Amino acid sequence: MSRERLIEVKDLSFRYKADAPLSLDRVSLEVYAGEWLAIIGHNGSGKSTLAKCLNGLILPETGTVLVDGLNTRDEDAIWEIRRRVGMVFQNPDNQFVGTTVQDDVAFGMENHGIDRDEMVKRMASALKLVNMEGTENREPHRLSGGQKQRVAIAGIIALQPSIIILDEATSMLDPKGREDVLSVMHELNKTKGITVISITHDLDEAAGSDRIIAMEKGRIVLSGTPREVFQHPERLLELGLDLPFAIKMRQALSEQGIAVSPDAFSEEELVEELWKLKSTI
Amino acid sequence: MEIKINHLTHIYQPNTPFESLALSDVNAVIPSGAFVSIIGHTGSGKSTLVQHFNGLLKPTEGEIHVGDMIISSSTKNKDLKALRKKIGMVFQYPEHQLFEETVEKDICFGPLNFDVPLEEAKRRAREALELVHLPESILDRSPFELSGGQMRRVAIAGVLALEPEAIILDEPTAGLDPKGRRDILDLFTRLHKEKGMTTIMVTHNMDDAALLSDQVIVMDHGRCLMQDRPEIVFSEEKTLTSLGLDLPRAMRFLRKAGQKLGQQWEEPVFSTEKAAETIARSFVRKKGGDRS
Repeated sequence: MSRERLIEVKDLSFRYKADAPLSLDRVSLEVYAGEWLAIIGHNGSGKSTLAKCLNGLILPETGTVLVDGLNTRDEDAIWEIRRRVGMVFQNPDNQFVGTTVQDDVAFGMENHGIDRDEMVKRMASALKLVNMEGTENREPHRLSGGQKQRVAIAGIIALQPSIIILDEATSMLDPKGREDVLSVMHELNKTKGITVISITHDLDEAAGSDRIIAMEKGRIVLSGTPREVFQHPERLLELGLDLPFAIKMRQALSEQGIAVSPDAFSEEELVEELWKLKSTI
Repeated sequence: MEIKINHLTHIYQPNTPFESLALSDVNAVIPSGAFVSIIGHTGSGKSTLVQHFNGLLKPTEGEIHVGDMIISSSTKNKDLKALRKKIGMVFQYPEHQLFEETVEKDICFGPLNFDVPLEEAKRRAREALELVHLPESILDRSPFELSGGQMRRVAIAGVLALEPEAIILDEPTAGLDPKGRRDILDLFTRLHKEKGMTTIMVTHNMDDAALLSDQVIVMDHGRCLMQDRPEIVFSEEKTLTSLGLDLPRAMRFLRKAGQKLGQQWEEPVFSTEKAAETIARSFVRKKGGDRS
């Protein structure tokens, strides 16, 4: 299947200081239009550094990053790259720049010189997409963490990007806030075709992606569909990661002598397997 | 050290237009040496409640008994210092509070503030590092050169160096990677088991609350709705759901599987191992029936 390549990373290396070890070590990667890509790996494995390279917040030491054919080293292209690749960070309080929701959403559009009538239109539709309509005049301290993250997403959507990167964007939220942010993102991914790159420690979230990349010491060490990646539970634990609940449950069941197929990968599939086994007894 | 909460009410900014009732007639007991988790929706009063335990907040009405100390609205602020020494508080993202040039200075900061002599403070810093499983070699390093998980452990070591009798944890694993999470939870489980440390943990994670605690306190709208063993609290599915709280994952899976397999699996089961045992039992019984 040939798919449209949105991002092409080739032999990318990067280090923060001249005498520091490489934070990214010859990483090559392609991101396809419309996919949901999860990047996993323990703290310090290079995930966030990679993400920052994708919209030119940092530039490669060697290698190249192309976004829709635009090179992040090209100073004339950098604003266009950042418009196309939006980024939501971990801490909701560190990225709210406006004094009200509408100021915050307008901030990016103002920087890109979008005219007022267009801004008003985009503001309304962006807030609607993240389920925050009617909050235009709210102040940040009146919002929960999850609501702040959704306002941040609205600010990005208003710039009509092709990709949104979530850099552990739900890790500081409570379960409800996390669910709200993820369901908004899944909706944008499905209905608007926005490509999502999600850096996450939540393996259950990663299990719902189209493709997973695992990083270790600045390199990509595993990649594939969730089903492929979770075929190697020992490897994930070695990498300091965890397993999704359904995989742990499957392991516990086989330890009890219940022969569930190793292909069962989600809770639904496990239940289905149990039902089949039960009816054969 | 036992902590007893009697008719505790807390009003933020009383007698102003911003007045808000954060806690309303809360009664609860944290038994000495227990591991107690506090669960509840965001804004339910969990953090406000625990901030009373070490005197960061004083009751508007009611009292807190901590060991032989009583804290009420009339307690003088200077009398709270003794309390802060007995009860250690690990805030959310405690690593944000690191500030010293070296790990050693940072850990010693608390004890020195409580007039512990320098040599003794340094001895405690070494001991605390050992408790959090960090090598002595990092004492001279800047805390800001460490990884996120290590920074958090240094911050926790700073609290342990006060040699508290009880420790309060406000979402201690938020934002950590899975290995960092396991390390931190293992650390507090160990301190609780080996040192008999009274441990109070505010958490959004129902699995942690169910698996680690002796007792669970459920907060809602500033009230304490339930305090009991996890087996009892997590049997109250309707109440929890109405508060926007989940059951532990293993229980949710059992219900889902039970529905399909025609089984009523409603017992409180918290680990994947126990859930698998429950399912295995139903398989065996059926087999046995066939053979007889």
